[in-house]
Amino acid sequence: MIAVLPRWGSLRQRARLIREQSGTTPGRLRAQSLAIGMAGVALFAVGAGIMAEAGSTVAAIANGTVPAILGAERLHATLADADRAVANAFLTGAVEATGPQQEFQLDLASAHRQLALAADRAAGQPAELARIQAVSAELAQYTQLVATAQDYNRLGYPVGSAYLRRASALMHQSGTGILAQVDALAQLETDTLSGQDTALAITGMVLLVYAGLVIALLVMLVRTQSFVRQHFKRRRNPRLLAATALLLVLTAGSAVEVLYATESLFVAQGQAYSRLLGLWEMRSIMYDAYGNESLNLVARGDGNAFIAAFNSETSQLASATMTDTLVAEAAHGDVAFNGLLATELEDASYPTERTAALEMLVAFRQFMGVNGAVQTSLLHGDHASAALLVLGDQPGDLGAAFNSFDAAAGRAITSVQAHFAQTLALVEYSLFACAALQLLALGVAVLAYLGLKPRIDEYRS
Amino acid sequence: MPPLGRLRPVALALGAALSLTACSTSLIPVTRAPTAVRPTPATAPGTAAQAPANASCDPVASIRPSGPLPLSGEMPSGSWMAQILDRGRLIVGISQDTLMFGYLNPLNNQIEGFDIDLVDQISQAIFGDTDHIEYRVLTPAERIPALESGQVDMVAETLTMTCQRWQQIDFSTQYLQTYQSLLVVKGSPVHSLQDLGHGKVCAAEGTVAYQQAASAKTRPTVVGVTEPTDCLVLLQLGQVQAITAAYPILVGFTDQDPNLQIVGPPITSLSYGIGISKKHPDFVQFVNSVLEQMRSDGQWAQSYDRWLSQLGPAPTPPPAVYQ
Repeated sequence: MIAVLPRWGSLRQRARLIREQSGTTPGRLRAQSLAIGMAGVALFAVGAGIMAEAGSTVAAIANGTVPAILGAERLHATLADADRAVANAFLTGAVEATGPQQEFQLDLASAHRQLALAADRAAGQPAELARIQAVSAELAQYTQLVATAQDYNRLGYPVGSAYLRRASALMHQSGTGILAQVDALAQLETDTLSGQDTALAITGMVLLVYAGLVIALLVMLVRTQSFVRQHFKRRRNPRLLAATALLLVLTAGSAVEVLYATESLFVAQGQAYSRLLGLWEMRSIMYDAYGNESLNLVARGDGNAFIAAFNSETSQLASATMTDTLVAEAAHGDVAFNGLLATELEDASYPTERTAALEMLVAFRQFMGVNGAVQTSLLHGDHASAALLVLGDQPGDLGAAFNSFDAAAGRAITSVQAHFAQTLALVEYSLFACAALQLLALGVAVLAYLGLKPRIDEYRS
Repeated sequence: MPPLGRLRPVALALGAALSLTACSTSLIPVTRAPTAVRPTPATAPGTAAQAPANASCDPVASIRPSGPLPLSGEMPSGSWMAQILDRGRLIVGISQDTLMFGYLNPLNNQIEGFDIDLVDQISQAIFGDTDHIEYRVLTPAERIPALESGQVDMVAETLTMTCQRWQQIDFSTQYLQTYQSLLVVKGSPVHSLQDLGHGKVCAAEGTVAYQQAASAKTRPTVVGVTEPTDCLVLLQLGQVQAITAAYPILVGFTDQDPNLQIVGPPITSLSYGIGISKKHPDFVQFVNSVLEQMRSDGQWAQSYDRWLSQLGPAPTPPPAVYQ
């Protein structure tokens, strides 16, 4: 017979009864059942909590932070392209040069759309919103300066060129310029990503608590099985065995899911994300370099600063002077130079991306070749030929090489971004599935209770 | 320019001012900027900028030509002109945004102006055509160093002849006499450098006007820019109260923004000459011969009428003064 605790007894009475009963077989069975139940519930809470938290963080990275960073990179590229288009329009000289002018308008419209999107994403983030507002305000000022410059150009007045210089300076000014503000916005988002990575790392450390709970529960189940076998002369308790097996299945399943998620996350963030950033950076650099080539021509012999900027920018893409031999070697996997292009060629993981990276290299080689021809023309005082080479978009012109590079970079970005998004989506799914898997921990507790209940009931009768 | 066309820059300047600056537009009626002023006032003052480095210096006295102009394409052997001919191009430092003197006309994408006409004549004299000119745009501060380093054969960019500069480079004979003046927004209470007090006045670095403003007794705050037209932008944006530069340059500014006016007495007289390296006195003599020819055959007056008519009817070309 099992003693029943008095419902309204004093605490002292209750404590005495528990002490008396814990030494008895039914008392120990009840205690073990209770401990296993509590451990199962704790395992569920910790496991589901960790996985749901990690899943939410990954979802925030995939749907918020990384798109915001890439959005800032894209905005940088778009704005740099707008400034390049303005320089080309001025170099073209025609008052209503439709090509560059149209490009400028399209870039501007795109930049405004991207800013609106960034503002939506940054809702509730005061620092990011302040940056976006600063960019918007400066962009409005830039647009006004360009419009004034173009109006003066239409009237045939040279002060338009001064407004263009001012507009370009506003775009490129170090520290306070529009592009610097956009870069600062990207840095804010990068800081957020670092914070999220830290949060994931901390979540990973909480997994030790989860592992401790699993071990404790496993020990409890084994010891309870052993206790039941000794006291009831039964070889085994099938439900306790089932609970143990379920715990092992839960542990193995969780381990597989966590390992998969961790590895995928590492690949996505450590590799694909880096390559995405690198590809956008290369695209922006090429816009800047092309713009500087145009501005150098506009400056007519007074463009040393633009030449220096062009050289600095293009050397970030490839450290060596690009030759056909280097391109051919790179096509065979032997990348004999450094720089962002080399990194991309070495790290490209997907066939489409690799093909696009090689096309970027070929286009870059052409771009630099045409640049050489432009410099030769300038050296011989042939400004008109140099301008034709810079503005033209036929094979052999700078515009054609630039367009090829830009198109290839776009293909590479699309490829990597698709894989990146897919991988992060799978990680997110995997973590939420793992959170759901933790329901098995409750099953462990229930099975253990069901296994012990008949033995406890034997003492009631 | 047709009447409606003349209103466009007014509207443009007003629009720019309203949208880009916080400065208010004065409603006080003011007199129009002078439209027909001779470039050389009879009483243009001499100043420290033109004070000779030594008592014998005459800033407008150049090297006398040694003989008649050689035939184009047949430059004397060993001369700098022969080297230019062999090279196949005449490298000239110019401005590309100084209206009337040297500017890239956005309507036809050609560099044009009074200075450019002089360059064309010199190219004609060497090559027999104007297809062998390489323009290098120089900021005012880059003009002298570009000549000293040999980057350009000559500078035709509203370059004022001063004794100080004679120590660094040579000049042709003067081809235009003018003076330094002050430009403000119409209705401004500023009518002279003295009125500015410590206010902000803009000038291009490397110009005589900049030196003059910096050494003014009232100590105005001189805002230096690389190109004179940057001053026009700053004035339109309300970031400076006045611009000081050569009178014809300021007339070019009022043409681009009729909301501005030239005020005050001439600050100092200026004489423009073509800058040439001290290493090539033969080229100075050659250029002086070309200028002599332009004075005598009416080319100078034609160019003046074409580009500088807003300064008034073409005066007699400044006389060549030789050392």
